[in-house]
Amino acid sequence: MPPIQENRFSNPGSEPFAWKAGTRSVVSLLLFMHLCTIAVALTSTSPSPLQIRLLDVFRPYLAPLHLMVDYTSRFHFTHGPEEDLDHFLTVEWSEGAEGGQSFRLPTRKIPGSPRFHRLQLLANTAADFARSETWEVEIPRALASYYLNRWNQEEATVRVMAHVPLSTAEVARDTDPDGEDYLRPVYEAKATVFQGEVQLLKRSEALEVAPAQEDGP
Amino acid sequence: MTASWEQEANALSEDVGRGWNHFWFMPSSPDDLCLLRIGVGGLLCLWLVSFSPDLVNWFGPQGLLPLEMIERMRGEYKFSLFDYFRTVPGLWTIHAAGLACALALTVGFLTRAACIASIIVFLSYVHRAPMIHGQAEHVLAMLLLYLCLAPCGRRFSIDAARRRRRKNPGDFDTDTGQETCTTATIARRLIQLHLAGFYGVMALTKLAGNTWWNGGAAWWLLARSESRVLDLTWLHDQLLVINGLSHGMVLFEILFALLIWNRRVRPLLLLLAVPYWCFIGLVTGWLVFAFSMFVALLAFVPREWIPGEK
Repeated sequence: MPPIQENRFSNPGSEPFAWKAGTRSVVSLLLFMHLCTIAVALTSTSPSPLQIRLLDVFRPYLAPLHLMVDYTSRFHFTHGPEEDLDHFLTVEWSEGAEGGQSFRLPTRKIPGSPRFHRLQLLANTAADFARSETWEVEIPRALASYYLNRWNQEEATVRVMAHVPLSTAEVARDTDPDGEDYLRPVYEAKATVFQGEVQLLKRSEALEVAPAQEDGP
Repeated sequence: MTASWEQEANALSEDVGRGWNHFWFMPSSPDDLCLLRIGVGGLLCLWLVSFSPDLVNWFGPQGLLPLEMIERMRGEYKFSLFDYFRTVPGLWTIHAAGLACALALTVGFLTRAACIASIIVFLSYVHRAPMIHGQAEHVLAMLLLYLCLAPCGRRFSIDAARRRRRKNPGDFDTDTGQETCTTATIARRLIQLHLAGFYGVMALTKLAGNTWWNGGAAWWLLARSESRVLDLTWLHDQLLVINGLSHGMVLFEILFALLIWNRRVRPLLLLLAVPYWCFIGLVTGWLVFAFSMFVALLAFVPREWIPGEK
């Protein structure tokens, strides 16, 4: 076996470490501080009041580096149909020079592609926001603006839809997974262009999207 | 009694200090990190290319995600180059520069600078539209950050070839794979700890929900028909298989977080991670996330598995 070469930072003395003790102490302190912030970030998916305070302290370090993890990061993958569903967005209008149009985001052409995944995350975020009075209109309004501008329309209906998965019993009964019972509006609004700005008139309250499960999965 | 207690405390303190120094500061070969650099760079290239057809649709002045909306929503301390390059030519300039940096990182050209530039561009995308980024971006951000610390251009790179061509007597032979340095150890340890932390978070957050305890969670993954690539709902009458999958996933994540540090168990866990992430990627449709977790595993790959290592 050829001898292992140390690089220019190495000290070929009795100590196996290339860095001096003082350097190691300073770096150790920095590492310890970094690991503390990471530990708080990773364990704060449902933060306690203490964790919230610590996160506020560490935020200037963690946030710019995208090291903060929260519940919407979905590292749990799923907590069942009460909490985690696939969503999609629709925009449609019935009149216009080219007749009615309907758009669905994401389309189901290439599931698994980064493009599909981004659109679905957008739809999922819109569904999360539908529970918040502050944020509920943001994504539907942006979506309506984009399509109304692009297709030169004055009015459209925007929906955030949840796709409820079938239980094992429903699959056994050959139920259509895309049936109307399993596509439920989470948010629905009429979008209108008024003085150059898109305004939304909400049509329904945020709906409970999970069906009553008869027999578990 | 007091003296004995003090002796034990001193011995413990010395042991901990020695262990800490050995864990973080023992110089090591950066070869695995050089391979990791290629994987991360390649993944970043694909990730950036996937933005190309929709760049203006997402971020353009008339795009789906207007900057004014994002500024209201994204919170403090988030920086994006797209905040300053708002026009269509500006978007394409950043995008092209980002692709060039990612490509340079992959091939190892001016590696350190390319890595730092890559993470700046990557974070610019993430902070420009946080709502369209998921778990994969957390993993990629972590990998890019720690690769910035590592001498990850020492092998399998254009930088290494250029250094070899210069053949200065003081330079090291980058082909031997025997060069060691402390920053490689620190970067590798940070990646390993952070990755084990991700596995721990995955397991603990699962256990916060009832569906993983009652064994039904795997079904709710299989049944999400919008995003899946592989339809396994024919398992609907195999309740025990579904239960086994649910419990097996949690068990694997816990074991990975705890036992990956054991050199004997590590190869087994790495091998188990392959079907695990294939399953997750195909069933959920989170292919980029699954691939980024694959790539991150390179930080745990035993030295003897790396080409050129003895």
